[in-house]
Amino acid sequence: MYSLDIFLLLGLGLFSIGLIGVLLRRNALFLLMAVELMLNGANLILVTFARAHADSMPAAMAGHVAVLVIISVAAVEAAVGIALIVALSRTSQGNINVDTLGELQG
Amino acid sequence: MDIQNLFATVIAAMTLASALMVVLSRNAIYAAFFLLLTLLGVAVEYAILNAHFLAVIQILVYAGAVVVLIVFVLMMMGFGRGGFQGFLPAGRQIALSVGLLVLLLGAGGLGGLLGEPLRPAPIASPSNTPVGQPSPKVLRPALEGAKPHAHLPFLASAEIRTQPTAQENFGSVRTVGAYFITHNALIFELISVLLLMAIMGVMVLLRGQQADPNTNATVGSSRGASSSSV
Repeated sequence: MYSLDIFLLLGLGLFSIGLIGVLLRRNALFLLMAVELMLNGANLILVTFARAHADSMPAAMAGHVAVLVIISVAAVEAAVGIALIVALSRTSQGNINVDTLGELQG
Repeated sequence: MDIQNLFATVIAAMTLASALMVVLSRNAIYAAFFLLLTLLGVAVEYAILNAHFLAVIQILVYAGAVVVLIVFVLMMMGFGRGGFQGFLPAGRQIALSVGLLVLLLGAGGLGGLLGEPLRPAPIASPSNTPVGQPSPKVLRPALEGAKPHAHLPFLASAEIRTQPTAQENFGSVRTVGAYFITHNALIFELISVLLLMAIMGVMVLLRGQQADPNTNATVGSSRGASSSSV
């Protein structure tokens, strides 16, 4: 049988790698992808705990429902985030470095 | 370690390695495709955890929509050349130390749970229906005694069960959907409102400069002008 550790550690690893990516990268698109990694780590842990509590059957589905909500919110976030990046790159001549974007405001 | 654990571990290692490549690769297109690999790995782990519906949704929404959107924008706007666009002052050390700190904190928090074997999903027989589930007769009184699918002969062979076993019940579309609609109907409706607002928000965000003739910064028009001048 499977043990919980693999999935919990994978979710934790995905979250940490995503956090490192958010802090490390300055390209706005990379930030978006790193945030997706963090969301996936949290989702995986939710699904793992829902599976671990499969004995209490109807209530364990709350974890799956939460993951569904998070996935839809993440899709919305990606769409709006990419729209923001495109709008930003138009006004800043293709520069989407999140550190230098604020320096040209005068 | 049996073969099932080995499979899950191999998939987890692949997922972690591609997640690292998402963060560390210099070309954004490579990062996007490693992100696709990561999301597919997570979908496989969902399927291993009996969350079949979520695995399909993960592939549909993430691999089918989000990654395609990112790759589309990358190829259209050409953001991929940026690569490492500078760091915070001493940013690498700060990022690595904060990430490792969160990793250690999470491992400490999860430490009490590690090592616990995952029990198989229980098989619910009619004699030991779990507490909280309606009994089959309460669930479908109209179907009791009636011959299932009498009006649909091609379905007559399919045995209809009012109470599927928990093993096949767990994570199926029917169970997740029933729980979602009955317990969280407001959230279900709010998601549709959120999607509608996102559509309108994206249109409002990207509409303005297109209509203004003074700004020549719109990518579509500038690219069209350059191609026509060539």
